[in-house]
Amino acid sequence: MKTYGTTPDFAPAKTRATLAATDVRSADAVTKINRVCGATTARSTRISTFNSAL
Amino acid sequence: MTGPLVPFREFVLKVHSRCDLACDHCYVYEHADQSWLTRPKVISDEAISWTARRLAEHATTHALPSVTVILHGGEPLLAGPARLRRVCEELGSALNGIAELDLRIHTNGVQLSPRYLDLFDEFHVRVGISLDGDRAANDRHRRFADGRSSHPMVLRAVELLREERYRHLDLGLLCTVDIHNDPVAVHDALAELEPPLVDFLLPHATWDEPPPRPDGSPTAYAAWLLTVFDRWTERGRPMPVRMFSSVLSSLSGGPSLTESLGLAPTDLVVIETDGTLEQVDSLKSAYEGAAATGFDVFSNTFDEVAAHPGVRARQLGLAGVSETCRRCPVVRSCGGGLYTHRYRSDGASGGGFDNPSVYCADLAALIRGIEERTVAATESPAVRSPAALLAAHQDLTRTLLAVVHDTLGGRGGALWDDAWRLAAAVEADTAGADALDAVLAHPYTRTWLVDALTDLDAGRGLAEPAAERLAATVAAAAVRARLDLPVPVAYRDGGLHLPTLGTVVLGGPGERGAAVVHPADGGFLVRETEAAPGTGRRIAPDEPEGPHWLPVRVLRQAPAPALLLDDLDPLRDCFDAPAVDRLAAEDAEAWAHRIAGAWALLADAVPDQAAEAARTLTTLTPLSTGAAAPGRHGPGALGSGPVTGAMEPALGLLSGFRRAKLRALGEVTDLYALDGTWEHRTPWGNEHVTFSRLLAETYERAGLGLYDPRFLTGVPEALDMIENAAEVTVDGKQLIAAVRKEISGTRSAAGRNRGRSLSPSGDGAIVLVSDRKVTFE
Ligand code: SF4
Repeated sequence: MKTYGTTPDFAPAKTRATLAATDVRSADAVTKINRVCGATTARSTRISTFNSAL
Repeated sequence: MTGPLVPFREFVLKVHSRCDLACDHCYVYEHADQSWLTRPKVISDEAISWTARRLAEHATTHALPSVTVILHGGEPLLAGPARLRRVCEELGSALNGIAELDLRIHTNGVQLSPRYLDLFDEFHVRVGISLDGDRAANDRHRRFADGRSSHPMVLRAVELLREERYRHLDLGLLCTVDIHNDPVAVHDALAELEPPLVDFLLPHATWDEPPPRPDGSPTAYAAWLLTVFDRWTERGRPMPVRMFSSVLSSLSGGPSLTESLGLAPTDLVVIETDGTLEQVDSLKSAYEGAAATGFDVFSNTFDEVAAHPGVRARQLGLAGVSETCRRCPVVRSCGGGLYTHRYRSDGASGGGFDNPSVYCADLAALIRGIEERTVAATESPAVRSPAALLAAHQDLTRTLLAVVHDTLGGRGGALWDDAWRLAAAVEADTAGADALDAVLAHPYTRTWLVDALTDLDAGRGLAEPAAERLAATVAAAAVRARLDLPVPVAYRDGGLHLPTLGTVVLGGPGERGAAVVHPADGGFLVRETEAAPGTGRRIAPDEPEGPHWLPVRVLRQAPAPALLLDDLDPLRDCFDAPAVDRLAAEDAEAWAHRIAGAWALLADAVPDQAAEAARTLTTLTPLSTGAAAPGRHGPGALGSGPVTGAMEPALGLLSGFRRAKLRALGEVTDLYALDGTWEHRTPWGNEHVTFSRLLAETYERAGLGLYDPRFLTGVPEALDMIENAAEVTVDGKQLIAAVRKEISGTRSAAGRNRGRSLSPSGDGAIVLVSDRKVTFE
């Protein structure tokens, strides 16, 4: 019995960042993580919601 | 009113109550509440000091990382540089060391000069300016009391703010809509100034004083805004527009970004020049005293205001909007509109805010219009393409690993640090990068990383086995890629598990130690750190099972795809039912047999589903009980209890695969939002369920219906319900469209599967999951 040999089928990730260069702080990264990990310490910056100002 | 108190994070500080313009659309001066007439013009020293004190107290009580203070008016620049300096100094020193202070000012721009901007630079006060568009548009309302245009002065202010030295303070432009203006000219005039952000405000109106509709159209404001949206799109979205961003965010399942839209709780409070505390002051256009709370900074805390019923009413999300809005399909994006716009004095319940917005038809048309225009571009490719789904998961796993490393901040220990460095070396090699991808794609990698990050976030630190897993992962990748790279690892309980490969037995139960894995001759050598050179265990690439090596078996029995039968990974116990220990060889053979039998049925009955499953399923884990089901892991795994025959495992596999797919989708995109806020009645069970459960049951039934059309009973009705529910996002709708397509040919194909008799109810019914039985009615 061959010990290993299954490799999942990926869409080619052409310009993938290395692990060290992976984005870990952006709002996008936080959104991704929050879908699988309840609440993380990472926080994206809030924008003001007051209607009569920016 | 129940629920925890929502702390304020945004404070509107009125520093001057008058204005140098006399805009006829301004809510402060032209609307019902004229309380400004009796207020001091300028904020007093005492009010400043008490505001600073209360802010610090509030930030401390609620451990707020930052608070936003917006200096507002009237026209705040009328307070003069000395007063504004005092405000900045007092707020800054009160919050120093407690919370970050985000200071902003919103001005009409008339007086904005370097004198002010230098002050704002010193205290990092960012500046927003009101501008209604081109000159004709701006002059329609923004005039001095004597009728003079303010436009040239405002443009000068905008230009000044755009200068290199002040640009970092620029917040952008706020434009009040007037549908008499040319929307394209307004857009272009704003875009030309290259603002970092723009927002459009609907003119203040209530049911008592509805907005002007010159041509009588109930959606004239939506039409105007959508013309701007189209121009904005055509021009390549030259700047973010808060109103559009908010709708796009909520359509995709995210939060709304402004108090005028969506269901996010309002967390802002207004401090008047005399220190009284009010609710958002646009309420003033409703009726005299509408914004009053009866509190002030001298004698009340912000917590007291936060508990005020009027404030609470605007933090209730769905419970805080009218009955009509609660049942409205766009309520997540709309939220009933700006609170003020809901007011009517003669409502059914005697007047108040319990109504849809006076802009209701406009808001619905605007949201639908934006959705129609953007749906193709905002959809996640993962919903339709299995390859894109896997790519998104690979990206998620890598992001998780990088976040764990970042969160550790160098406190992961020597083994972790070495492994992280070696991972970079593995990645630098093409075959190594592929091998690392393959090991990271192993479903239990996800279990490890999610648990590790959860522990770190809870302040529990990194568990030793979690640190060791990175070393084992890198070692497995090095072995798979045949790299000449020794990888330090640690073993525990006598075993070193290399994910996707197998377990090397290095000692008895309970024994632990350090070792090095060195890839060699296609296999690898493991040497304990303490052992003499030249010793160690050599594992050949096709090493059979023996006292020192337990390989992860690969099931290879056509027509089933090659699948890892993972009964070794220490992290595999992540299913509802417990995972069983290592199977005996003959049991593994029996598994291979059963899976092949089930797969033959699937490939015949549901070829598309079987083909997709073959591409995405990588791992099976034997459980003590239960039908095939996914657990807490990355995509590609199913766990299953012992099963007999082929029919049951075929349906079980299909059901497990459907649930795994839906789960995998939900982990990389938002199919719905605010789950649990509404109740839905399932067409089959007549039961009240949450949206997520309705979606899960529908998706599973539709999949099983491809195998046996009797499962499709009620599915078309459920798809309609889902599509019209408030929770569903653009990606949720995309999924529903895909399901409709899947099942569209099924009725005609029904005859094909009739021979595969399943008893329509009772004993033969497939138990798909312990808490959600899908059976025939
Ligand atoms: S569109 Fe109308 S009914 Fe729907 S949430 Fe908005 S105001 Fe309410």
